[in-house]
Amino acid sequence: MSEERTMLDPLAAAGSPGAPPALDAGAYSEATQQAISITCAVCQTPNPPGERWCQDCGFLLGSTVSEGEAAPDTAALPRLVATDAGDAFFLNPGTNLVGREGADVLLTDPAVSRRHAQIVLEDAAAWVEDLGSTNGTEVAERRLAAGERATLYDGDEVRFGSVTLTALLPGYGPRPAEATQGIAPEALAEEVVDRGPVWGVLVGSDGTEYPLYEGVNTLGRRRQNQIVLSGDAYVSGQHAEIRCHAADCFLVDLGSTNGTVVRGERLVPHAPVLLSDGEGLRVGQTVLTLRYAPEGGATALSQPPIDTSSAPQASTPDEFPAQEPQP
Amino acid sequence: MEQTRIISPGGGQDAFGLAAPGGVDSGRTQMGGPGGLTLEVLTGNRYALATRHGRDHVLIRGAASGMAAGRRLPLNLCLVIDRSGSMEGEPLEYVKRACHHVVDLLDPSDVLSIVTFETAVDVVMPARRVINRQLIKEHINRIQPGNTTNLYDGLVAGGQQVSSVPAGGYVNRIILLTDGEPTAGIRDFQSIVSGAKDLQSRGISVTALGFGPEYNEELLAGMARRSGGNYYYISRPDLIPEVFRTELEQLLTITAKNLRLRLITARWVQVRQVYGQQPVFGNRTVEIALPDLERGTAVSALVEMEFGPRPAGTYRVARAELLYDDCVTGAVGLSLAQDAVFEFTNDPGLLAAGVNPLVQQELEVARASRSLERTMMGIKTQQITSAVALAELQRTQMLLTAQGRTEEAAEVAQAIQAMRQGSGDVEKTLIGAIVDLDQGKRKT
Repeated sequence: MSEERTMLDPLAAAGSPGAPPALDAGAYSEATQQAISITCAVCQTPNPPGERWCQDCGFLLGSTVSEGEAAPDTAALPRLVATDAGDAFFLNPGTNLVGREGADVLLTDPAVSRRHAQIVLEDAAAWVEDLGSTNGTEVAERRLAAGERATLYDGDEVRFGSVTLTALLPGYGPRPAEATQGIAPEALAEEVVDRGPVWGVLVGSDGTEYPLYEGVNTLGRRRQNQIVLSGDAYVSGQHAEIRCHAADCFLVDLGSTNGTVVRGERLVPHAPVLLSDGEGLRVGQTVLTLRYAPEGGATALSQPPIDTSSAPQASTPDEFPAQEPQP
Repeated sequence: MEQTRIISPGGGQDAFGLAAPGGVDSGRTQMGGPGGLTLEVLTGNRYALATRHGRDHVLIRGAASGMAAGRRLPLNLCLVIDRSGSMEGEPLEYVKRACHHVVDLLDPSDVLSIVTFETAVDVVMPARRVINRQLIKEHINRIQPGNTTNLYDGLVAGGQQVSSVPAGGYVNRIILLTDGEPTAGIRDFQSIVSGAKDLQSRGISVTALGFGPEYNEELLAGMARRSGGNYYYISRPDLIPEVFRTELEQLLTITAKNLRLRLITARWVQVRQVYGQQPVFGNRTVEIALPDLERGTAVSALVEMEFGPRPAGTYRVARAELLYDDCVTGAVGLSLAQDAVFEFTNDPGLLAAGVNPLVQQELEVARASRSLERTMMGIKTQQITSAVALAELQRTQMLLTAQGRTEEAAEVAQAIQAMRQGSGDVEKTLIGAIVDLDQGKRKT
């Protein structure tokens, strides 16, 4: 703020007519409180004598605030606020473009794309869609794919490139507890509706069960995965896939940093390996056991489970099926 | 045309680069300054709704008087000439002739330097007063064609020559002519354009002349736009001397330089955009650089602002300041200021009566520029057919004609003709119209 004053001072020295230059009410008021300052009728900012417009809100000093409707309450309006300052970007009903040029929410950061994302306010819900931005859009710490829509709740943090804003959406309700855990509500709904019956289950060392569905089940630390192992730092963001087709279940490592171990061997990335019922696998430091669902392919399995206990599982080797070690 | 900067995932990115609340201005106010410069602020509407969020436009116009000044600041000019192999023969001969014209038009108080570039850069003549014209012409005659095109180093060397003279007492300018893509030295768009931007921050504008079908029009237009200079497309070598003369005549009538427009906004006002410009946002301030003003020309900036709900009343949404150096009196650091004032009302019925058609017209022109840009991109990427492009261009041309933008309309007409003949001049001509529209400069 003092910067602004400094910038303007030469102007005052040049004798520009009209108002004194400083706009910084805070800094100015200290020096001028002794003199008769004019208090703005709208924002209560004290202004130095001779000032025609309020330095803070621009109100014509000395004029009266019109009677009639009370001042609208800004707090009731949907907006995005910066986490480090009070600046607000107000959102209009309908589509609000977020971007670096000519946008409704204009973010001049170079890491924001010109057309970065859009926020749509409808009567029932608010949502944000990434428009194929270079640096991505994140809602509640989940990055959106290009073109993906995510429901926006009151109090959500939204990141555009390197700019993080908080969405204040009175009337739209806060993010439901389960939604904050990871997958956006639409994705959850989708999972329930579209994924069909449970094909099998992965059981963690602590007894946590992760259902497997017919088709591709992604596994990793990121929340986009169907099986989220967020507690293990040795699990890659996109670690592995478990593909369940008819009677077979294949495991594919997706080039993870710390690898996927089955039967004591680290998998070659992108090479599917057939898993049997009751077989153990280790991703990062997490050990999981595969269980076919009773009606699934368990009976079709020709091979007996192969021993995995020789794998260097640091954490919980107990979870592996008790079997004879291979020579 | 800058690219979005890519941040490395997972940290390392810089702090939030939030748009600070921007400035706005309104009301109709006018103020004259020394040297015949005036500042005018027009609001898109006299009224704004107090009860909800609203957007409106403010037009800010700085104009130089048309009266011939008794004297002018001397010129500090550097000619930066491409002498790559492709310039051999007729083009280079016409360039030499054009340089001779420049020498003839300058006074002994003016400073001239000449730099040529091919693979390497050659200072043909370091900055000096134009006293011995014959000697300078002999230097010019010795320019020989070389090999590749090292445009960046040529630009830097030109900047050094101009900077070697104290900037204050002169109108500083580089005129750069090239006929091809940069093929040596630093070649990327971003570096070259920001090099031009740096020059502007040192008070030097770059006029970019593109000759022939091979040069990169986006690069040259970008250089001109960022540095506040002009852009010309020269289709035939025999037109080179004429373009040099036109540019020089403009330079000799510059009455104000180093123009910067600053808006200081009320706390609840945000600047959404300044059409065709890349403003610098500060804490409640928005600043843009404007091109030098010649006698009898005006430059305008159209600002879109957003207001939050207010208690009804009269407000200054922003204060506009025009900072400049006067080239007639030599005075530096001058400024003009105007307030942008809106009356915030609870009565929506008043809005229709308060519209200012002048601002609406300016908005149409700004949109025409974006439409031209879209059409040009469509042609480049072949995403639109030539029939669609033609229809678009004709519509824009009519709009520009209706708004009195005859020069730009003529440029678009030229592009239409080029398109019908299937020649490659379309984009090179169109980008000129876009630069002109975005700079907001016009004769008064």
